[in-house]
Parts: sequence; C-alpha cells; structure tokens
Amino acid sequence: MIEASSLTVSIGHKLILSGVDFAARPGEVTAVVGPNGSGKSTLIKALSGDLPYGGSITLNGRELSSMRPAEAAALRAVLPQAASLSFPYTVREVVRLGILGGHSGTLPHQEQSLPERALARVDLAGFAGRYYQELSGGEQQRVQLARVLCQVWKPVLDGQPRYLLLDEPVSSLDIKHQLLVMRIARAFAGEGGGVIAVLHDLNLMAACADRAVVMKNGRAVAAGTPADVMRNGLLSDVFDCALKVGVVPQGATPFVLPQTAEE
Amino acid sequence: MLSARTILFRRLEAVPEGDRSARARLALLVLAAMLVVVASLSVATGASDASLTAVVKWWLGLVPEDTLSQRDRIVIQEIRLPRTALGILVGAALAVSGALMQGLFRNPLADPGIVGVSAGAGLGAIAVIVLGGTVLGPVVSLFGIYALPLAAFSGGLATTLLLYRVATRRGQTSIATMLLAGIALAALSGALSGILVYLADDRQLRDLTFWALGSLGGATWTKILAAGPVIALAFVATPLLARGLDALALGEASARHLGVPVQRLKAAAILSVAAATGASVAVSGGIGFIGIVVPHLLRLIIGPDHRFLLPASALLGASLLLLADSVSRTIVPPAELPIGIVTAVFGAPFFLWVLLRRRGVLDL
Repeated sequence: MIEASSLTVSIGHKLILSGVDFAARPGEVTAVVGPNGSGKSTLIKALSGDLPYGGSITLNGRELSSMRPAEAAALRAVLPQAASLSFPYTVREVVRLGILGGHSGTLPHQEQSLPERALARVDLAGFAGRYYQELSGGEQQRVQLARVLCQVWKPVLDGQPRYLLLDEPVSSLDIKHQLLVMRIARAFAGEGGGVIAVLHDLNLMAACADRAVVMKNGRAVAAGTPADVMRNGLLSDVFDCALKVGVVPQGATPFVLPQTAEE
Repeated sequence: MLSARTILFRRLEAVPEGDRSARARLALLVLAAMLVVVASLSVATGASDASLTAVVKWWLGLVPEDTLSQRDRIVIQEIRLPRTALGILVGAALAVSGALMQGLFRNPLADPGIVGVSAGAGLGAIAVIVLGGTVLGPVVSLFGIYALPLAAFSGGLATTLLLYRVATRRGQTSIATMLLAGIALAALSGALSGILVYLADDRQLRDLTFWALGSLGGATWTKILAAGPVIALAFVATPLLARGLDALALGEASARHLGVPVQRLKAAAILSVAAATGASVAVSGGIGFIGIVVPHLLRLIIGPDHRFLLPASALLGASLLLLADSVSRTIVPPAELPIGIVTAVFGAPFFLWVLLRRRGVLDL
C-alpha cells in the first residue's frame, strides 16, 4: 500500500499540500481528480519522492524518505507528464532504460524481448527502430508508458505489490489509446499491483477507477468509489461550476462516453 | 566453413530493430584497430629519419644493440614515444570529458573548452607556472610534478561547479544560461590569466605562449607520469557513470525514479570532467573542439548510449588528436604549428555546422 498521512508540501514559501491523507491499495486503480492547481501533480511528485515533505509517506510500510532511489525504483515506476529527450535515442533504447534497475521480474532471456512486448502492449509494435524525437506527442507518451511498464513488469515481485504512478497518462491521447492505457492500468491492478493516476476526465475516472480522491486547494476533500464522489453538490463545489451527474444534455448535442466502448 | 562475413551478418540479423549495441561493439573494434594504426604512424614519422622498424627489431632482440644508432634510439624512445603516448592520453581525456559534460548538462553543445572549464584549468596552470617560484612555492614543493595538473584540476573543478550552480535550477539546466555563464567565466579566467602573464618573466612567457596555443611538443615521460594518474582516475569512473547518464537523458526526476542516485552521479561526473580536462590542459595547453567533435560524430554512427559512447570517444579522440598532431608536425616543415590551431581550424566550422543543424531544436 502507498499511504500518506498529514502530508504537507511547500514550494518556496507557498504551501501546496496541507494535511493530505491518502491511500492507494494494491489491486486497485486509485484516481486523483480535481481542478487545475488543486495539488494533484504535487501529490504525485511527493509520492514519487521528488519533493521534501512533512508528515509521512509509506511504500509497503516503509517510510519513503528513508529509502534509497534504487529501493524505491524496485517498488514503483513513475510516468511523467511530458518528457523531452536530449539525445537521439531510438524508441527501443528509451524503453530499455526501464530495465535499468533490473527489477522487471522476468527471467534474463525474457528480458531481451521485453521492450518489444512492452511496445506491443501500448500499440506501438514496429516502432522500436524509430527515433523518439521524431514521434508525435501521443506516441512519445506511450513510449514512456512502455518504459515504465518494463520497470515493474511483474505487478507483484517477491510477495511485494508494486505500483504505477501515472501523472495525466491520457492527456495527449486519442480516445482509443485513452481506453488502451486505462485497460493496461486495470490489468496491472488485476494482477495485484497498485495504480495511482491523475485524471482530468471524470467519465474516464468513473469508468476505470476503483477509488477516487478529490483534491481542492491542496487538500483531499473527498475520497471513495467513483459513485461516492460523482455527486452534483461535491463536483459543483470542487470544480466551481454547476454540474449534474447522469443527466442527458438537453437538445441534440451528441456525446460519447468511454463507458460505451466494447472490450 | 563459415566466413567471418557470414557470422557477422547472421548476428546482425538476430539484432532487434532499434538496438544499436551490436553496431556499437563493431565500431569499438574498428576504432581500436584505427588507433593502433594511427599510433604506429605517429611514432614512425617525424623530422628525423629514425627508423621505427629498426628500434622495434632491437626491442624484440632480433638485432644486436650496436646496429642501432644512439640518436635513433633517443629520437624514438625519448621524443616520439612520449609524444604519441601523450597524444593518446590527452585526446582520450578531452573527448571523454566532452561526452561526460554533454551527458551531465543533457546537451550536445556542452564542452569544457566552450563553457570555460579549460580556461579555468588554464588559470590554475598559469598560476603555478608564474607563481611557482614565489607565492605558490610551498604548493610546488609539496606536490612536485603533480602541482601543475592538480592546480589545473582545481581551476577546472571550480569552474564546473560554479557553472552548474548558475545554470541549473530545480534540476533543470538552462542551455542559454550555461553558455552565457561559460562566456563570463572564461572571460574572468582569461583576465586573471592575463594579469599573471603580465607578471611573468621572459622565460616563463615563452613557456606560456607555446602552451596557450596547445601543443604535444615537449612531451616527456615525466609529464605523462604527472598527468596519467589524474586522467586515469576519470577513466576508471566512466563505466560506472554510463547507465546513469543514459537515464539522466530522461531528466533528473525520471532518472531518480529509475533508481539512479542522481546527486552522486552528478558529483562524480563533475569531478571526472574537471580531472580529465585539468590534467590535459596542464600538459598540453588549450587544445579545443576534440570534446565536441568526437562525441557528436559518434552519436551519428552508434547512437547516444553512454556504455559505448564513452569508450568509443576515448578511442576516436586519441586517434583524431594524433592525426592533428601529425598535421601540425608536417604542414610547415621544419617548424611546427601548435596543435590547438589545427584542431580549431577543423573544429570551429564543425561546431558551427552542429549549431546550424540544431538551430530549430535549441530554442535558446
């Protein structure tokens, strides 16, 4: 379990997170939702070990700040929001960096073909020889996901559940690939791993998450199942805009929901 | 029977797409062979007609000692061999420190010569040359032949640390700030060096002028003994840095998420750059552009994977510097052109070409 209690983070003199309690269990996809500037990304960064924090963050029971980078890397992988690359690496070379710490959990001879398998999983089979810098933003994001998957390929290793921390994993993806990424997250949780994902799309959250944590002004204001948090009053208040859950829009405005996609 | 060709191509077929490690290993072999050839040529050619084959035969005990003139033996053993050895050492050090610095700053334009590290190392060296008899006397008597490379190392280290401090904010290194801070630091080191040159006497001035342009001339086994261990320290560290530098290409946060101890990696890279650059500058002066040309060419051929880029840079850097040295020795006989001029004549246009190619991406 990844657990934070009374988590406080300041950047400069500004208090970004104040007293956040948070838990992400193995076997579940935990979504973090909330308006811009509510502290979602800061929460993911703190849970990734990028920021000094007050309070406590534990990773499978161990305090994060006392773990060496290599120890944390064996337990969780982090997908960044956007990643530029400074040198002309091929797609395969980028994905292979995920195996760097040597904790994929696969056998050595399987590790040879792991980049290809990870790329196939994110619908980028045949892209291995391309240059990362030549790909579109959405393709780059999926290459990064493939790299992250390599790092924690087996969701449970040596009895320890492992975690995927995804910061806006679908932000530059079309709907097909949004669903693909969320299915990968679900499958990872289904095999006993844990997933924490910052999501903007409430419908996608409702369709794919087991639990949701709602952030506002640096606090976790609600947590529960998607049905618990998808309430008119809570959403209208948090997003500061009158929203109605489950009401078909008036008139003929067409709409499409991720929930309607067939597996 | 399988020919070498068949074996090679079979192996290449088995290589997955996008995996350049087989190509890189082949390149390392070719570069090593090239260095052997270039180094042999470097020892065999020179102003005197001393014959290398005669000396080698004598070493191997194939001919008695008296068939060899005393002069030939001295020319080969005390002049050409140390010069070639120094060329290999310095060429490798300059190219590797270029590659390390580019990996550290995540930018192909970072080079100790361009961002003022060499100038800082030069200041340290000049200080020892000029003040070694007076103010810095105790330092010189304490460290002996190592005083010069250590002073250059300190100058290079101070500059690199300062540069990194100025150009990096919250784990992000600004290219524009780095280049501009480099200009400022180079200017400052240059000015301080100028003051020291002003204080120098006639004999020191002659040393300084020749040294400032960069040269492998005057190579002695003592110089190699002085610079060798410092440069070797940097080389020993590089294999440990390679994977971390690859991860660092993704950014500092992503590298840490992959398990890389980023602060330690950066400190080790900075120390290695300062050691390799400092020691090279101390024994051969300001030889520029090897550090930017070599890694860039290699990235085009074998890709940026540091496991291969670092050793390949060492091999190609050594070869290129020996070739430049051959040009400098033979282009205006019997005089010798400082090698720094040769590398700048070829290197500066190359640098401009890199800038032109990357103009869109640089976003200064």
